[in-house]
Amino acid sequence: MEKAEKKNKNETRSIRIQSPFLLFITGLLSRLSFIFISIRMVFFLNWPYIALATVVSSIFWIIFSVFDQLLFFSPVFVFYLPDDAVMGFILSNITAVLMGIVVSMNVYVFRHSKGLKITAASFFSGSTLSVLSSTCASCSSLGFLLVSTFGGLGVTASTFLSNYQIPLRIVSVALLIWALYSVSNKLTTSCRIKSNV
Amino acid sequence: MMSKFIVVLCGMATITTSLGFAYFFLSPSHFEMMNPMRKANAQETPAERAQENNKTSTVQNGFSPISPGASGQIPKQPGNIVNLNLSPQSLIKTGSPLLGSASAPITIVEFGDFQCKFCDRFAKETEPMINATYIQTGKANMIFKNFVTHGPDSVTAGMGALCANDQGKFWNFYETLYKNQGEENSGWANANNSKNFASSILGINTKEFNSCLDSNKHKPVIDSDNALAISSGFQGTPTFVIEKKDGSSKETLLGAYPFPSFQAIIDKKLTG
Repeated sequence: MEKAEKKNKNETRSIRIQSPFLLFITGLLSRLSFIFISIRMVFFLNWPYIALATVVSSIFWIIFSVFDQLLFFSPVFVFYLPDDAVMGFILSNITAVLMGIVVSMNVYVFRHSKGLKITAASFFSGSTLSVLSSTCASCSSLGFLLVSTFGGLGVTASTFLSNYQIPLRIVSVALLIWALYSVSNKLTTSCRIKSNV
Repeated sequence: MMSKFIVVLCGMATITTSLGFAYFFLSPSHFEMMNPMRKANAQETPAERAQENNKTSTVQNGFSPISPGASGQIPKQPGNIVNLNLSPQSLIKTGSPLLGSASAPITIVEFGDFQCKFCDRFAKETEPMINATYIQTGKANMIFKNFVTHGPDSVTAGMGALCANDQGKFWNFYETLYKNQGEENSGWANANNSKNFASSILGINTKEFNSCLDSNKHKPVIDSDNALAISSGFQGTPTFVIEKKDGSSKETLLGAYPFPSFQAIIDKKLTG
């Protein structure tokens, strides 16, 4: 009898210990499922939005590749990926794809949901930061212009952008994921059942 | 149907615009357009060029890559005449570091900064291929000029490289610096570290190198190189000038262009 009670207590404790973690996991999974539902809602056999996302992603991919000095149009068309640029290239690909999805979803929200505002703040902060970080200000034309225009401040800015290029890109990916979450939240709000009802 | 058409049309328009932007931004003709002064310089007489040079130095008074933040000027020291001539022979005569045969038909002049990440990429990815294909075969040579835009460590690294050049070890030092490149202005290329880099190079006289670096012997040369780059209208690093032995048929590239780009230009010049 005592043994059975002890066993029950242990089980209860283990459930109590696990419950916040489980709550977090279930919450995360439900949020992820809402993101996937909203992506499916916007893109499933919806060719204009697929085209828009592809175009936006391609444009940003070209811009990032040009700024990262991976893509050259003249004197010959060349794309090359040196070892030092692999991490940045992976992050810029993620950013470009996220930008395409977020822009398309915002357009969908704008066209289909009256009274809903697009998630401009998170989108623009994410995209601006990613473009800024990809320019590696100190090495391109911008770097020299920064230095010649702002002197010491220009050196500081270019040094910061150059040294923290990868962390800045990770932040910009995070901001775009936040933008994606916000827009999918808006699209799926009406489908959710409130837990306290 | 209409919305599909509009989206496709907008997409095509934006792709064309971005491609145009990228082409404009990267092509050497952009460089010419952005620097009309440089284009004009090519047709000037030496006297006019000298006059223009004085004017340029005045315009650039606000720029001080060597001592950032200070109200710097490009110093004009006695005996340190700013040389606007980019022809290989005059650059070799003034003691610029040279890789390969002095009589090679094509010369690549690199304006670089040892702290620049893209210069590092060029040194590790493209330069070895150019070296193996054109420099070792006597078809081209390469000259290095300092263009320090990244802060104080760049100046020390540049001076160290020129001190190594005094002993014929410039390219060893160049390789060592890029192998050990650190975060910008973190002190990775300060005097002490530069001395350590030099001591790791076989056959270098460290005593001589250290005294050369401590005396700032090559500071005027760095200033002169910088003035040359600025007056030539260069805006960033690495900038490459690819030209024939006699200084004609100059082409400029701004950025860490890969080997095929250099190959296309050099082959065209060799056959043309």
